[in-house]
Amino acid sequence: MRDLSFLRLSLRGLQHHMILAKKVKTIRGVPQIGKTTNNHNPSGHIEFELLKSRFLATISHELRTPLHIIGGYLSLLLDGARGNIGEEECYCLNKAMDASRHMLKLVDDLLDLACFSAGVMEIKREAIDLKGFLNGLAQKWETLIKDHSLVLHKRISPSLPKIETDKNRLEKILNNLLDNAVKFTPQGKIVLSACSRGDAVEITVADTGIGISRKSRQIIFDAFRQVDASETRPYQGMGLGLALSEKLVRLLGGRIEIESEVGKGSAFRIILPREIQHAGKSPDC
Amino acid sequence: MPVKVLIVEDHPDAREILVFQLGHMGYETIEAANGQEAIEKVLAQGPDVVIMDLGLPGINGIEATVRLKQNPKTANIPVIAYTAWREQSYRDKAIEAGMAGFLIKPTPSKVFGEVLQSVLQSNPQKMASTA
Repeated sequence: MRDLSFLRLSLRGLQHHMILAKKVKTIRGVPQIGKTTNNHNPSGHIEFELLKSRFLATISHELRTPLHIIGGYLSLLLDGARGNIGEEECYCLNKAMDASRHMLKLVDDLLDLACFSAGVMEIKREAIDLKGFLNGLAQKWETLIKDHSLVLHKRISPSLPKIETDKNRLEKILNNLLDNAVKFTPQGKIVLSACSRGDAVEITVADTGIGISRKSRQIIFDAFRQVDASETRPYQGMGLGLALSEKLVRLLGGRIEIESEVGKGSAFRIILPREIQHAGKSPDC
Repeated sequence: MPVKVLIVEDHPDAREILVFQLGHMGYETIEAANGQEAIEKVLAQGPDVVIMDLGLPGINGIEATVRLKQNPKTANIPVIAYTAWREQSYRDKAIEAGMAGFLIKPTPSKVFGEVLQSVLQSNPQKMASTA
């Protein structure tokens, strides 16, 4: 555990659940759950893992529900389902909707990180057409950045193989990297490229943004850390995107590399196996 | 005849949003607040499709779907999960129960409409879903 106050909170909750579990098991006459993290009681260990998993799923559900309600009513107004609205109202509602979506992403990211910490991150393996997947992603981001002073180039090899991985997790990794590239590139270009590399595939998100110093590169994959953490920092955020991406890449059995030069830009390269052989265990954060 | 959609949702606000949303899209809606009521409304009012929350008091959404699929009178009515439970295990349970789609809250109206259309025109083997 490093500097993760949120995780400490959630783990306190887990400890609470663990105590409850101990009591339940004692009442049932099986007082060994305190030793369940070793191999003396595998069924108790499974029960504890389930308990952690359920705890985090419940927190996720409870936090997401009110955000869903806020977003739902805003959508009704924006879609005109409750009558016509004017341009000014539409502007304000869109701002509220953006903030609501942003909040939902923060909640999802925090909960993903807590799941890593608890070791209950799930992977769904499926075969994906990487070329089609990346072209679709590039198309989505071309639309998203149309109001920025940026262009997105793609260099996707036509001979990319199908790979077996977790599509949703891969999409989240790349969305985080692209989001980061947009955030730290006031103007210029972003390049999404991909090619085969032996038994692996290599996907790179490069930008012509502010770049990262050698010293700062040591902390960029730490959760809740930003290169400039001062009160006057120019870039907002919790510092979760890269931390989560790095952990997700490891979970998919791959690794992430970075090249950067201050003032010139950065390139984040993901190397993923064509098939997940040994998925990385959820790191201990 | 408009398509009749049964909305099964225990949260009154979430239910109201769906009623307005689907009504605006031209669907006729009926409502149920738990699994037992859902089964009764399906039998009594024969909706064309069911949108089912998973966490429901009493009989939950998965169990209600299993019971609907076991009854030959209701087995062919498609059921779409609409839930804030985003974990893969719930998606797996939904597939196992015979649900035709899996949507995670909040799903934008446009996507909701597309999934409803795809399920109604149906390829029951293909599960429609949002990531």
